[in-house]
Amino acid sequence: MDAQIIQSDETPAATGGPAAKTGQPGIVFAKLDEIVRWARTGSMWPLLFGLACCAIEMMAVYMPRFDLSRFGMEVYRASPRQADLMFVAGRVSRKMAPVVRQLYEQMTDPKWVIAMGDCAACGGIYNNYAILQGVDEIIPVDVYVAGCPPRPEALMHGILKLHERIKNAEPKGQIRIEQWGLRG
Amino acid sequence: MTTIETTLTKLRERFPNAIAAIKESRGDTTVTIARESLLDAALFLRDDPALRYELLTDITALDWLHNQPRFDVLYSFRSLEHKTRVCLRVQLNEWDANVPSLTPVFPGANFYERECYDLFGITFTGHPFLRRLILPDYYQGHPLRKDYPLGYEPVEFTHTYAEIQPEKPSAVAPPKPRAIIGSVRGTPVEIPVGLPDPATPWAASDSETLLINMGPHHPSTHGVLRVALEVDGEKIVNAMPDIGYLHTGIEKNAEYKTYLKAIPLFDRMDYTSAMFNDLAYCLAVEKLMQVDVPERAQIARVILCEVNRIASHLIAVGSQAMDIGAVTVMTYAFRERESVLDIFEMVSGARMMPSYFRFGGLALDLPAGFSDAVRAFAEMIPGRLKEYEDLLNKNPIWLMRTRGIAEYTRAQALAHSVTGPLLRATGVNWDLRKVAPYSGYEQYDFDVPVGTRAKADVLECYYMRMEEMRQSLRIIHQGLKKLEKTKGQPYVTKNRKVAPPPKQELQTSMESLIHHFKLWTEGFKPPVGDAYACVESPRGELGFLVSSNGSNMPHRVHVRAPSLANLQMLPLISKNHYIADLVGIIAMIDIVLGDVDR
Repeated sequence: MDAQIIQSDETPAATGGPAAKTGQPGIVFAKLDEIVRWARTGSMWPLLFGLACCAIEMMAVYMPRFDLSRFGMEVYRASPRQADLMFVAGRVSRKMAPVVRQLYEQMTDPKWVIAMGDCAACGGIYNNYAILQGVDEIIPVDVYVAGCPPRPEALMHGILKLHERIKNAEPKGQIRIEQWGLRG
Repeated sequence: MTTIETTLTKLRERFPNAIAAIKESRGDTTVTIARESLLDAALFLRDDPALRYELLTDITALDWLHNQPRFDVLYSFRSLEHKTRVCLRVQLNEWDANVPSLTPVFPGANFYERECYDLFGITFTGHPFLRRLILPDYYQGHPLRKDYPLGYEPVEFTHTYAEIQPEKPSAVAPPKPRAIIGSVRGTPVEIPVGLPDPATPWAASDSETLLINMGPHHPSTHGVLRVALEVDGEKIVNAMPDIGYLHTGIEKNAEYKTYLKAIPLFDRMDYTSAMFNDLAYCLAVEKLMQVDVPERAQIARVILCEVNRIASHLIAVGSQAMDIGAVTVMTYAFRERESVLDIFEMVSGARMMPSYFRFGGLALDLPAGFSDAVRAFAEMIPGRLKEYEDLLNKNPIWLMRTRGIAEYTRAQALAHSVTGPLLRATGVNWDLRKVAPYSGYEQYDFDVPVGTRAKADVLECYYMRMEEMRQSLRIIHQGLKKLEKTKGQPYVTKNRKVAPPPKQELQTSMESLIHHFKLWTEGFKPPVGDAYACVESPRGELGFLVSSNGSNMPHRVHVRAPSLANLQMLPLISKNHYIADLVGIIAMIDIVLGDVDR
């Protein structure tokens, strides 16, 4: 984030406000857009939603050893209306696909998707009648995490990549709306 | 003691004209019986006081395309008293693929018959709700038939959304009204999702019940299980499970891979106990091929499976406690589970999906430091189990929400084909490690925890799992002692037809080179026939039926999934309990949806 802090020469007035608390009067200049983007990375609320094996590994990520709350990510919401990040953790069957799509559409904008694992990315080892060959056939995906299942470190890396992406780009779903006028 | 011979004699006496053939191969007995006598034979097996084949463990089908009769329907029965297993086979022609349903007399046949109908298109006449079980209602075709394609999609490695054409036909099937079949006050009805339709019975003026939908996205259904609940206030009148949201087509996919390459497919089936899936599949293929397994490999298999059993039960107990509100236990259980995953990572390099077992032994020898790591783990666990028990066993909320919830009797469990801790909680001493030992379990000294109350409930199943973990520790300690004696011994069979030769041999022996080349290019070709092997997984009897047609790929691999059978009991045991207790009941059944749907 390009922020610029301008020091004021005037002595801190005893009028209260931030200057009185910090002793350092100053003004932060930044683009509102960037501040908003930065703030969004600080407390993402993922959707509590698991499909298959990767879901167990996703649970391990916010359990004691890996402790996802270090990144402000541990508040999983069971309702899609309160969540802004979806981990597609596992293989998506064709029966489940409409449900995943519906969950995605119920999430509030802006929203991001991490395809966790090979099955969510491309169908993985299951290339057959039952499994969707990549969840990006039905919803836009921002970050793909490889592995079968990915190690918790890999998922955390994916999350950090997503944080970078949030700071620098629009969600994939947003791009899709602008380019093609498609919703979701 | 009734043996399999007396069973066959009795069957022959009772049905002299109906039995077409009796085949005994590799320890499995299959009786081919006429379709008209199937129901009578099943009842005779179950009710005859000298036979008592009470447990219908499995129903499946085989498709012999271009042959007549085309379909085989196989029914497996187990006698708990005599520890024997017999298989009934009915042969069906393509134009007349229907058999009488066993569901009216064996409630446990329900899901199996619906699965066969769904995947093979075999009709079970007299089945109360013969509808698709796994695939959605609008699905065309029956995927496990041999003339149904795999549904392979060419891989397109696109990782940018812009490259995907917006015109691409939608992967999602056109939205159709999703409905499931169930019964409301005993009447079979079709239940639409969403607001109740005024035409359906529960909206009738005399009915006070309401339909609510739980899942497939629900944090407490342990995956993508959907349950349609008919509730009267807060009380459940009927709970109708709808499964198939994680149907992966593993059985179909395995038919298109060589025997070896199918191992990773099964790893991901019951994903909390991957070792058991591998072991059961390897045992079945070893039985088919008559492969010997060296002692060191057998001991390693036992140790790793018992370690995995602890991990699986930790998830079961932890998530059950979390569902009821004791979140701490979940956090602790996952802390201990990480130690198990460290051991798996040590032997195979993968945390969750080891694919470590091979036909005839192991993929690699156990690494240095394995015994120490397992010993440290086994010494750490008893104290941790005590910790959980301190948190739960005297916790009044836990006791009130588990004792007397989901009570069921021994007869109900047997009728629904339930196995594993759920069956043992009703007082049935039935553990495949004892009754049909595999991998040398007969050499280990351990007890099978069995329920002592007349009726099992959620709490009793929790006690079973805690005690099973302690018994697993006993087995692990004994296994480690045995393992020391086998240091330096081979870890995989010397049968070069199934196991590749060691690397150094390739440079000196032409024959080894040929074996190596053959194994990695086309795989091995087992003799024609089929073999069934089963293990006691943390959820019950996990069996693999591997059928070979002599080629390098299986003709059919059928999985007898314990979770699928156990889930059938849900409507029965959740009746008249509160909605809030349903999550505890689902956790008690300890389903893994990968295992249910496959």
